[in-house]
Amino acid sequence: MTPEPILRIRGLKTQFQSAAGVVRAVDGVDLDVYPGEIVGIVGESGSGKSALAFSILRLTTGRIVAGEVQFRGQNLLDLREAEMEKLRGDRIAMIFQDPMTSLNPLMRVGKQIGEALRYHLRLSRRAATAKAAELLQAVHLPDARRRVHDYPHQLSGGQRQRVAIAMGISCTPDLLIADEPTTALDVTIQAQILNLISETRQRTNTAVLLITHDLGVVAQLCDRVAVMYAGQVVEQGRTADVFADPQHPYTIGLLGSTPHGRQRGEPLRPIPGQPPRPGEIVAGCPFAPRCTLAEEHCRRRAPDLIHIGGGRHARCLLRTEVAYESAS
Amino acid sequence: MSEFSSPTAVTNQVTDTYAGRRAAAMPIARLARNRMAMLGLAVIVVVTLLALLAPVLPLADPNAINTTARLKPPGSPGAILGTDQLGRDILSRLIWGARVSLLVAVVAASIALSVGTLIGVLAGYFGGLVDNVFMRLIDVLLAFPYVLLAIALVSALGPGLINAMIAIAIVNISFYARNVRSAVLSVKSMEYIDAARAAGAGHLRIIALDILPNIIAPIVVLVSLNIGWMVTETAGLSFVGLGAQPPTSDWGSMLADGRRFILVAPHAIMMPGIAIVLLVFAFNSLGDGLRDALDPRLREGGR
Repeated sequence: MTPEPILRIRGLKTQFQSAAGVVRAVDGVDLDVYPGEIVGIVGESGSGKSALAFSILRLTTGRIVAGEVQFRGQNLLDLREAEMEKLRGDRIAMIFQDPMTSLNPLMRVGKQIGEALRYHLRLSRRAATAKAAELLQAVHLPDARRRVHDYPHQLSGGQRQRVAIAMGISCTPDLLIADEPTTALDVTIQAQILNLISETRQRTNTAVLLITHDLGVVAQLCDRVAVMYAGQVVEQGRTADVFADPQHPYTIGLLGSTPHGRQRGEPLRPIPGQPPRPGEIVAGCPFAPRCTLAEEHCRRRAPDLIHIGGGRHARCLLRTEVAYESAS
Repeated sequence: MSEFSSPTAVTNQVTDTYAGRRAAAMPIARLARNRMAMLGLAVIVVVTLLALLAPVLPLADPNAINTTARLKPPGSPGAILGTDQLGRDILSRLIWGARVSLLVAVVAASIALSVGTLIGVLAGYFGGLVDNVFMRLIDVLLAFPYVLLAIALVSALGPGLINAMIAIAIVNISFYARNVRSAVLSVKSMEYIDAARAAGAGHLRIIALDILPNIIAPIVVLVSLNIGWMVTETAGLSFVGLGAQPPTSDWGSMLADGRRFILVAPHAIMMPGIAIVLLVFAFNSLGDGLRDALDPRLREGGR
């Protein structure tokens, strides 16, 4: 019944060398993305969301030290750089957080979109420009035919993000990685861009890996969600399930600290403390120092990501015991 | 010469992220309002035209010796700026000499710019080992006083204009390499470079389409500041006899020739001296103007 995942990440570890020592930005991530679904990755700043995205494309400035990234059954970490370049933009595309800086200021937007078409699909200059105009129409940029000749500064932030999305979907990729695509935009524009991403998925059956720290975005858009903390996935499952009944204490804390779905006047409960500093090695569960439910053994033993039924996973010793008990 | 010792003045000028056509049109308007820069530009245009038109201008033969009319003062009939110790027409020699000075400066600047930009782009873009190797080589080049290095190079290659040009080019590679490298470093950190990588562009394509266009502005400033310095350097090498060889007229060798007659015929040394000062001043004020126009953020700091 379930199809093969388009992206299957196992035990991925990416590390950065810094003055403070080795920073484990991605620390053993397992993640599946199925064709045509939108998977959200949520977590605080520094939880490794972006490092994960860049690692999938092998564009990270850090070092991928372990794990595998299976894309359409092929481990991307085994490919030669030239093969990787053929894949990027063609089968896996990415859109970035800030549309003010993610477009080359000195290149007409039509040409920027057309570049990828020219080297992936071998289109002529003229055909690429025509296709660029079509793509701009598809992302609802008004007056697309004329806009292809504009420079990025002639467009607004939302329009630029539409251009970036047009670039991303130009070769109808199997997977689109969106790294906080709405964070830099006005609230009114955010909804439009999210609708556009959802519409694109429906039209082309492109799977989307949506990186965000906005739980509202996840609730609105994502089929499944993975919650990241300190470089690890601490909980994943169908969005509705995770939001209705969070299993990991961090997810519970995260949901408790947002105003979504709560009564007026009910206070928000922020998670106390700070995440571990980059490079800091925490014995036991990385979340234990901030966890209200932490017990003695949480500080000694690091939990694994355990299947807890219904396609849901959690990385918590408390849940692990429950799972063991119900299994036995 | 201080433009050589203060590379930071032209460092880190990267086209603003929000730049584009509007920002490309504004600098020209800003430059046009800068009187000093426009004056410099006018001088450069006039000198260049005179140099180009030298063969068709009604000038005396610059190398014709006339021993009966030696060291004539300016204003003499047939020699508006006077004659030198061999009776050669100074105006004619100045204009023919401008050809030499400009040609050497422009060609040397082009060589230094090409090699320096190549090194700077490779070092800045790839970083790591490539960066280290190139920059340490540049450090070695910079360890020598530049005039001394130029003299040493010409002595090794043999005197002559071509060799002087090569020496000047080599000495100036470090100037371009370092400044281009720092410009590349700040462009490289822009998200559109990541975006181009994520779209599948290779390194060459990114350098050609994303890096180079965005460092053109600082490069233009570098060149205009550098050419004035190269005019001085050419004259300097000719002055010590390592550049233009007789009878070729060159501003530096004219200075050297006139030096012995400074008391009886001061015009013989003043005319080429004024010409050098004027041209170098023109290039420097145009360079300053360009820098101000292309990067307003640097206007306050300045030199």
